[in-house]
Amino acid sequence: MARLPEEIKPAMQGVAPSKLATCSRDGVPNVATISQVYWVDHEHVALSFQFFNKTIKNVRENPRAQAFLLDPTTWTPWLLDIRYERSETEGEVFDAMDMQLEAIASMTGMAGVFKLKAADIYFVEGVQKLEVDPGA
Amino acid sequence: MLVPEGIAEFFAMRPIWLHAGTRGADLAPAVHFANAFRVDPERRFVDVLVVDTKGSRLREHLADNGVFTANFVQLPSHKSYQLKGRGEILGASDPSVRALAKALADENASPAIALGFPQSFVDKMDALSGAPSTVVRLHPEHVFDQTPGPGAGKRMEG
Repeated sequence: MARLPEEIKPAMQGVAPSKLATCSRDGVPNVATISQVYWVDHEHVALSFQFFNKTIKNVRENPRAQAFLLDPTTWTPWLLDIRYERSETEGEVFDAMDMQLEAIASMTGMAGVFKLKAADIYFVEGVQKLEVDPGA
Repeated sequence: MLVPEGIAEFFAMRPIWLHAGTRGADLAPAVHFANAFRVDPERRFVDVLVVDTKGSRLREHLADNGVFTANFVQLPSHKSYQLKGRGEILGASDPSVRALAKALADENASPAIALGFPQSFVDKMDALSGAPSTVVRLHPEHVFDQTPGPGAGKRMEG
């Protein structure tokens, strides 16, 4: 079991787009941009479900996923190994994500395109701050 | 299949960023940061430079099943495409290949600043362009339009 560190929180502000890798039941991976990775608690994050797309189809077949986040203060990348648990269409997390998504849509010129259908709750199985050798 | 002719123009747009995807024998997916690409002039394959990171399972995954995807995003258009197919490791990046990454970082810099990205982001991408990476040749079998919106996911013809 992993515990989300406080230092990852800036990477969840929605400033830098995140990526999510999922995999279908028949073994085809998919990488997509996600608007939000929302801190729920030290063991859970919520991702925005806006369209019924490949990502949503995949995690309902195979709940394992990996998210790539960038901290906009240091541009440090993070990887989260996560497992889909459930979707919420109302409540505190949904309302907060809905408000944040409106702000993200406005900032990125996607107002009218982004619309929150559900807050998908994931259990965090692993957390890794990516270490990259800057090379020569 | 060939890389669709219609997205050749997209590959020339800047700024453009890319990530790769693989999966293990246990169907656990992985996302990989990539810092450059080159498209075969005959459109038969795309070489992707995947940055080496501690704990990466890229080689393990490709040895197990060879399934590889690359996701490209351009701003401010938000145009996005994903190529899915077979990944073949060509080897570690050498200075000539790293020059591709440096060129992409340089080409992305000014348009990224114009879009409001801070200089610190451009500097980080520039630093990562020199990072050791693994060159993966992607032989596409399917190409999808992933531009955000209800039409995302449409399969393209080669």
